[in-house]
Amino acid sequence: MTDSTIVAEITVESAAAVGARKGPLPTRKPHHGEIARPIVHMWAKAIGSRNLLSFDESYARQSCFGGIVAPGTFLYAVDDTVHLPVGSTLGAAYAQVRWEFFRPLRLGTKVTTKSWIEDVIVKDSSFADKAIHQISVTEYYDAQGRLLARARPTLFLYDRRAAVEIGKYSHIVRHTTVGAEVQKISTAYDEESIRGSEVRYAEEVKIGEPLGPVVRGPLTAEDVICFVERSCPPTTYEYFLDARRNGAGYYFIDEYGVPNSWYTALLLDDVAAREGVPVAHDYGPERVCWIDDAIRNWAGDAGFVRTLDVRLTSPAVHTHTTWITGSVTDVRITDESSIATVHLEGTNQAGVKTIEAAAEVELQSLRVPVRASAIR
Amino acid sequence: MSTVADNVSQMPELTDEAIDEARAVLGRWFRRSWNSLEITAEAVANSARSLGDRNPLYLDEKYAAASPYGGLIAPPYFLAAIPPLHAAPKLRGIHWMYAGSNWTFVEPLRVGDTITSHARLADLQIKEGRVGGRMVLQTGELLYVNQRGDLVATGAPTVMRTVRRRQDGKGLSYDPRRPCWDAEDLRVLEEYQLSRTLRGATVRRIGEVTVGEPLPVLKKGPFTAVDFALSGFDAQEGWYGFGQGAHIYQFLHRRRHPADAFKNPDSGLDDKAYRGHWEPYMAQQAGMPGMYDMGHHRGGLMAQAVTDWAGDQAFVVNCTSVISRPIVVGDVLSIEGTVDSVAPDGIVHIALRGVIQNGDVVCTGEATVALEASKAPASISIAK
Repeated sequence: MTDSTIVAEITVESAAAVGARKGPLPTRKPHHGEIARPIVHMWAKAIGSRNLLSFDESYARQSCFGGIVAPGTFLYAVDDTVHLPVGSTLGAAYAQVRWEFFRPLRLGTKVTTKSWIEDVIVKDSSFADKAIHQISVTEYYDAQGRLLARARPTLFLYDRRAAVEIGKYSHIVRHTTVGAEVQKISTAYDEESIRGSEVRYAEEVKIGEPLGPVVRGPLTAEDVICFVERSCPPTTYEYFLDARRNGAGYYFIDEYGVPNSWYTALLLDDVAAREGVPVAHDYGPERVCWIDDAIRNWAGDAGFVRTLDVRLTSPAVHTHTTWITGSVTDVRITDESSIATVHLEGTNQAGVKTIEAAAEVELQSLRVPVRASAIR
Repeated sequence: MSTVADNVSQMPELTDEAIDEARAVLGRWFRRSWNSLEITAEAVANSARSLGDRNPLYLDEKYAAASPYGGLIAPPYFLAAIPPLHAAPKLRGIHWMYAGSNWTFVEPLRVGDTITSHARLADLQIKEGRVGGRMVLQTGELLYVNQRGDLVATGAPTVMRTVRRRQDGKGLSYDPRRPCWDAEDLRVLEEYQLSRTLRGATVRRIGEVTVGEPLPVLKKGPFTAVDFALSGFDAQEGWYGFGQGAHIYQFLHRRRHPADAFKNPDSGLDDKAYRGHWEPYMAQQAGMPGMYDMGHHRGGLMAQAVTDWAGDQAFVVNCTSVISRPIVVGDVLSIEGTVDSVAPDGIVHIALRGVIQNGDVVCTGEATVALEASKAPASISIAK
């Protein structure tokens, strides 16, 4: 049951039959069970972050955290929150996520996870007629059992053939980046603004104040590989064979008779096209990390992202460039907290929105100079 | 698509001047101070899994604790995860092909050790290639030193530097191929892969090893683009490619090393020439027969065939690989080994070769194994 032409019936019942049903998920061994310096450093490079707090020890020692702190979304390298229903042959796309962060991720922290499926909903879809929205929760705990963060992603499960027939994204083509556009991207990289050690106080923040731009891309296979290799790479060789024998349905037999993981769609256009997107594309969670990085750039080291809601609205494909911009939409200062709300979006070079995001960021307040909750 | 002029301008010839420039750095230790790498249980397990290695010595802490090593050790091929992967400087714009390795071990690579490497170009040979004409073989010398300053291993990786396929007829030029498999052949292959057992804790004694004895064949494949690109083996910084990072880091690298870039006519981008591992167009441009494997992965698979046979009590003293032909997506590789000699002290020499489904020998190698690690030629201290 692995051929891509098989049409799976999109119902809650059929999803449940292959494991997309409410309830606890088996405990997964973390891909990286300890927040270790080399891993955090490589992670920063994999998401294109130049935030020194993540990899420069001498810099980080001077920060309010007194040492290197991983970005909250580094937790994708512990568990990428993607729970493919075991026997499902459906296409899968990371559609959206809500992150709540409770504690900074300090080096040496050992992390375990607990995951469950919270809901399974069938919805009409302009992409594939009908789709299953599998909403799961992954909680991350430290060795003392303290909750570090909670992620609530929605995995979009769909019938590939319907997606190909409908062709919602059939207009997407590779983009040739030349001349002034290359220069614009190069300049944006050079001029990326990172607040760093200069504290951003809530009282100084104005509603409407802009964030960004932050640029990522033009996306290459190497960018995608960097992210996937450092988060939770797919199984290969005998382990891929084990997974297939154990009922994993996330593979297809290619025209040469060879079983291939659908992860191949991250590399090759012809495989992505069989999923309804004509060009090889990103994994999904890396866009969440880009947004997290853009917010941290703006907030400075003493800011702490409390919540992060990200919706991936359209595919981000190879050769396309993502421009992230945003603005402050609210600032609330009380005796207990000082929270700025920011909204961001990512658009590609053609102006097509590929990311929508909102976040609550705890900032320092001039009234209460050090918020212990942010740096404990 | 690129024109002949574009193609040729991106594929410089191997000139005497460029070779002289490369030769000028022979013997000089690289100035770059590589990040020391701590061998963690996770890194070991992830690297083993990424090559399909099921040996519990690398995966299972409890099992490893009961082994002669008293804890988790890294497989021989973990050396490829410690930067740098090779030492093949200069010759910008000339394609790199990992052509083999020569790993020698003084001590096991233990979880918890921090390894620092030192590298230099040790040898440079000009050869006439069967497919690509004149080429240069650059062999590095890599020293791996632990946190106590002890040398634990050495490496001598060889990189073939060859002109890519040029539209003026020069350069590397393999005919394209893409193997096909029928379901029954695949079923038989998978049954073999699943039923293959490891020697593991069962001690392999000298009296039971005979010259000419074959090792159980290790079969891998059919290879996929995911095996080459997304296995996670290169998640460490060993291979330059991904160690550079993504997005801005790729941009910065291209700015510093413009000759490393290869214009992608499809995207307009200065892109990496090594993307032929997972991109058919670039594989064709490089002169390869299709999306091709990572040479250092193959060296790892050859080492795996040896450790699977030797068992936990043994210690791999040396493992070499010579990669002679590319493996492409769809190939199935069989690593065959034969015991060449057995010395009274339990030192066993093994001849290795890798054969693909059409009978082509795509790599050869040798391994030296001390059946009892305490009798290894170097002063190996196993249980610490």
